[in-house]
Amino acid sequence: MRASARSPSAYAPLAPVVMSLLVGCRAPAPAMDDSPGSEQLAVLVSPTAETRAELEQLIAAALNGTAITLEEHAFVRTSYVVIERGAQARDPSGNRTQGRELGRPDHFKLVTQQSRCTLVHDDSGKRWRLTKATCQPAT
Amino acid sequence: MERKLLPLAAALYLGLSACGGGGGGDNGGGSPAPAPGWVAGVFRPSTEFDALCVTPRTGIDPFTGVPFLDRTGTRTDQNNWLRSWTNELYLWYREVPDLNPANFGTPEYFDLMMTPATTPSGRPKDNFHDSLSTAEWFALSQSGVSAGYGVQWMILAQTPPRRLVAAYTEPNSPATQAGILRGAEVLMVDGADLVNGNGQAVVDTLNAGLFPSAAGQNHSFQVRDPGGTVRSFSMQSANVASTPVQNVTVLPTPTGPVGYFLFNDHIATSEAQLIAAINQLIAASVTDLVLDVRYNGGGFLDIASELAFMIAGPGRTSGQTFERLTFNDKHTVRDPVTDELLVPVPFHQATRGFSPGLPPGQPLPTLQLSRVFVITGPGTCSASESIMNSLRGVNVAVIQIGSTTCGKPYGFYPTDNCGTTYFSIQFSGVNALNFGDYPDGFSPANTVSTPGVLVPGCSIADDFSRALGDPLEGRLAQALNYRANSSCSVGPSGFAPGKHAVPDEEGELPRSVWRESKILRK
Repeated sequence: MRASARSPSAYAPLAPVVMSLLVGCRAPAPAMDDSPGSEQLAVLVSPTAETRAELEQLIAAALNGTAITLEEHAFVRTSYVVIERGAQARDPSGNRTQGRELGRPDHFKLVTQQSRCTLVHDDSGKRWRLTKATCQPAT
Repeated sequence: MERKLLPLAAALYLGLSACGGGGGGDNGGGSPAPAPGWVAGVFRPSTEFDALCVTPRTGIDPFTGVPFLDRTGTRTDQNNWLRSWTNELYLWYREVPDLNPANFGTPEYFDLMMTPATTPSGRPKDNFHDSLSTAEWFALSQSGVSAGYGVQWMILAQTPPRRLVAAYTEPNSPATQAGILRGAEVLMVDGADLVNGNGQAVVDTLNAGLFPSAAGQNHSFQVRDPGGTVRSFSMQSANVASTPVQNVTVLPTPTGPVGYFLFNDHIATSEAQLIAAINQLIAASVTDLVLDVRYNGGGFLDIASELAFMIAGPGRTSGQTFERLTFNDKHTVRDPVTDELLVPVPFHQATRGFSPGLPPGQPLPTLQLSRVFVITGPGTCSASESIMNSLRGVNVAVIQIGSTTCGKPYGFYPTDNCGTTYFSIQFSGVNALNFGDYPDGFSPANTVSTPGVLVPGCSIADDFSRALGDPLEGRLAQALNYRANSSCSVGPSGFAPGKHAVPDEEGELPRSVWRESKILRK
């Protein structure tokens, strides 16, 4: 039984154990950026379709998502994006399928240091350097 | 509330064991086979059948972040998993008929793994038994973002002569750019007659145009605006961010200013918007609040708890239960999914950090009201009903204006097996007075015809002729009238919501493209 009340990060404590059983089976992980240094919250500058695709790919990979819908201006006006799962699903009566959600959403933020753009998953602390984006410090 | 799932015990079990459950040798078709080991009333652990699938998946499991653990199994294995899982976790497991899993297809068997009982109004006691492909359930979205035009359609009649109107729109969306106002009635979509068109092709055209599956789709519309003008225009779908808290308004009255806002969805972004709304109303020194949740189907329960606190304040809520979750009688001490001790959800007095950039632990503002007017409809569901029930539990007077709520004092942990995610009721929620028995919803006191739990207030149909927040809009006007006179200015009316009932001027909220085949009918 695998319940989806929380993000996959809830499974983090045992992930290494499972991985040791299944080593070699996992898909390649995106390039990680693990050098926080002195950095600032950031927003995107003139994002392109490639920028958007990279962000979607990284976030979906971070959460093992099957598909992702981001606002066209995600990370343009603010440094934060919150991701929810199953929020659009409705029951046959048209009401929210998960009307009593006990979990939490996943939070991502964009930071910059020396013109580098880095995507950070707040809940796990994982970081990915963006290669298709230009950032500037958020005002 | 923070909840952690049981730490992959089931996954480890499967990773370390080659054993499988019993079951027949059928592979999804053919005549029913005997189910070795199946004995009525005897249930083996569901973990014995976990991930034994007719069609095992490969790749990464989004639930766990590790490769799928699916192994080749049978239809009977899948049904045995459903049977045992239901017996372990379903709230009314004692009422579920025990049927031979070898005799049914898996979707058919799941449909039977529920109580056949009905509520006092005669509708199914379990009105929420459902499933969805896991790939669809695991679709991610930025909070409140979905493909569409930014308009919430409301179906007033699903079959010819059909009626479909705009209930509300999202700011800065294709719909607002096209000038769609609440009450605008759609007449044609891409040349198809919405009102009288017949045939599957027409219905498919209507659904495709009204509910685009992705951004960037262009469709043409003919609508009759609220003023009666008929006009045509095109809209291109986009990934639209919803604004779950809208129309924050202060209404002057002879007895003091009254606050109003529309609250449509308990999504993450609503946390900050609710705080801003309450702060705005505090600054205006409102003496009452009209909370409009007529289209709010629930969401994060923590956000419902925060809002209830912001309405009532600490005096009435400190140390009190917002909602206590109750599982079946096999699980009275610990949550059977998270393994955490079952403790009541309190009225949260500080932020939970759901909204982007909003840190947790920030004290919440509060109106400190002893009563609240709540505008409701059949779309008022789940966490929205919890707000009403929890406030009633701490002696805040709830005055209900509108129509009967959906009646969902229940919840579940969506659970995957073999590529299908199952939604099967596992817990109910009760308030500080230990009350949670409203399966037929809450109904304004003068509702006629099989109402739910009666609450002081007035039954009145939705009014699409006025903007939401307009003091002349029927339901808001009735709330203000009740506040002034402690009585209703409309006669008894109303109905209890049926599973597919679409009463005139009440409507159904067709929000999901996943259900689009059920949205408009021939």
